[in-house]
Amino acid sequence: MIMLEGVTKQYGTRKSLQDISYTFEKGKVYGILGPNGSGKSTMMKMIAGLVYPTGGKILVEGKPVSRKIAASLAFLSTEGMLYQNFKVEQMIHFFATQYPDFQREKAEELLAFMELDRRQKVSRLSKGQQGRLKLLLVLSRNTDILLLDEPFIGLDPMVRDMIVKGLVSFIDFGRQTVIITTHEINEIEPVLEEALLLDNGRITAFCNVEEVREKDGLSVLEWLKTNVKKEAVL
Amino acid sequence: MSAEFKTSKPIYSQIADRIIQQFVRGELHPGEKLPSVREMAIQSGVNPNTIQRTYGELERLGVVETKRGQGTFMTEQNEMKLKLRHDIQKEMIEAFIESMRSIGLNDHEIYESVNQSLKRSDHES
Amino acid sequence: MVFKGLVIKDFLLIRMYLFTWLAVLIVLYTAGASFAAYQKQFYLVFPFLLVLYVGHTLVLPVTAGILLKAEEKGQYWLHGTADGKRLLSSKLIVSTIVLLASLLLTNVLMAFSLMAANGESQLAFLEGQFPWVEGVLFNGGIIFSAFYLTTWGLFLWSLFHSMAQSPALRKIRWILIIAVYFITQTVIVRVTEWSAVKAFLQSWSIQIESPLSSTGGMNEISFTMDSNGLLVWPLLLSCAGFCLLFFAAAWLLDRKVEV
Repeated sequence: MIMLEGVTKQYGTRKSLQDISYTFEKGKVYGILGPNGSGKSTMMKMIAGLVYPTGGKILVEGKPVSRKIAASLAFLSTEGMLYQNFKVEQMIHFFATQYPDFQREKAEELLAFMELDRRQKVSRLSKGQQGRLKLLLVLSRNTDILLLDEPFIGLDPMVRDMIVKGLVSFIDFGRQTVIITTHEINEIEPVLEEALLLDNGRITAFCNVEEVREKDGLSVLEWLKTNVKKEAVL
Repeated sequence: MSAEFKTSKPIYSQIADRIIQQFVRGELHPGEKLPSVREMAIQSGVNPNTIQRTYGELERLGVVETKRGQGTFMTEQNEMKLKLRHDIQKEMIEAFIESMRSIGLNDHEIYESVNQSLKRSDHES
Repeated sequence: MVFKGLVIKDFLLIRMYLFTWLAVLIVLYTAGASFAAYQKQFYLVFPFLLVLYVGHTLVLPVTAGILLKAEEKGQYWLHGTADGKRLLSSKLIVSTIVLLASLLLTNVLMAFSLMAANGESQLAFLEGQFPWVEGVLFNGGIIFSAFYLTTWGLFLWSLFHSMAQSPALRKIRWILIIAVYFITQTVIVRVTEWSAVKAFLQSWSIQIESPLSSTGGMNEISFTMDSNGLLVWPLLLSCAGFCLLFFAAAWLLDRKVEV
């Protein structure tokens, strides 16, 4: 369980996150939606213990989060994960040494699934292949929490589809708490259970994905649009 | 083959509809084993909890049976297939009639046009 | 396991630079030596080698700089099970390996030049002896200076990135970094000028028998060397200072540097 209690992050006068309170329940799949600059990435980095709140608390399993959380949390970040002059297998080897819960067999399975060549250099991989390699690296770990920051950014629809399949195949549903940030919602909507809308550093709406369909007859994308509009009117 | 989903309906019931249709068309046979929750989730690219709900719903309707430790199977009762076909048929016809009326046709005109169309397609085949 | 993985990673990051640099050294030396031999004045190779040696003070900080630069984008290296001490010491160890490899090659080139020059004409200042003591001292001086620059570099780098989260500090962090360095230096210089401190620093020295003992020219060496020989206290205190800078850098990395 991840609890955010009145979390604020301030950079000078600019507030990246404002008084966020929310609880992520264990074993569920969450989507954080919102435009660029809404504070999605900051929120992810905070849960990963890599950015510290200016105000409020973040508790994971009741304990304040720190950099040590990395032992039980896998984080796919938008930048800095891959070393350009490494081969795919060297990246895998490096991750295996850094995280005791890294599973070699799972990495092998994912290598085949993601159609990656272990001898290729990272710098020679296409954007889509790099995205798949990043996913391989985090999905090979056996963690309680999985954070995916913009896993679809810059990828073409075919690759996105593949990544969604990868997620469904390799996430340990019911045990892993998964948080995905994205602004390309369509592909992952069927994977999500809960959706949050972040705008200007605040959670402006949240919903259960199937409930929105059932009660309002809306997809999350449409729900998102109506909520953004309401905001704009206010 | 993760199919597209309509927005107006929960995903779990859309997958349930799909299974029922396959059963009625004969693509799924009575007593046939369905993929496991996980396999089905991967095939359709959805959260396994959704499939869990789909199977639960189908079981409640009596379309599938879950055997402990073995998996989920299509029902072997033939009446169920007939009933489901009847349900779908009824649903489709009602929808058809409704849209015909909405463009201004009366019952007689609907009947006539269906009759003519049926004769024509008979002729062609 | 974790630490070994870090060291291998850092070595892989620097490998191409290392091989390229060693090749450049050989090419530079060959060019210099050929020129000296062509002029029929082979001893000209020695000033040239001296420049290469002095340049080695920069090998360590530059290598460490390249290794830190590789992590700067996103600072994802902080998302791991290793703490700041391990992260930084891996960088320092790999940089030291690079320095030692480069220094070793330069020493081999130096020894080769000495032997070549000796065969040609007896070098007066050597009195027929191979300069072991000078060599060790000189190498030691270079390594000492290199660590001085690098530990300061690591500390200031961490400090620089610690200030990123505050926009007010962010704008003037270059100035602050420079200020921190110069203020510390000034304080140290002032303190060492006090006669009591001076006396203490010179109270323990080791005599070194060397025909060349008066020719040392580098600042960093003159700090720990004088006509009496090697001063032990300044050397030990400097090393303690390096450790302090290193641990301060690691502390900042763990607590203050944000992604």
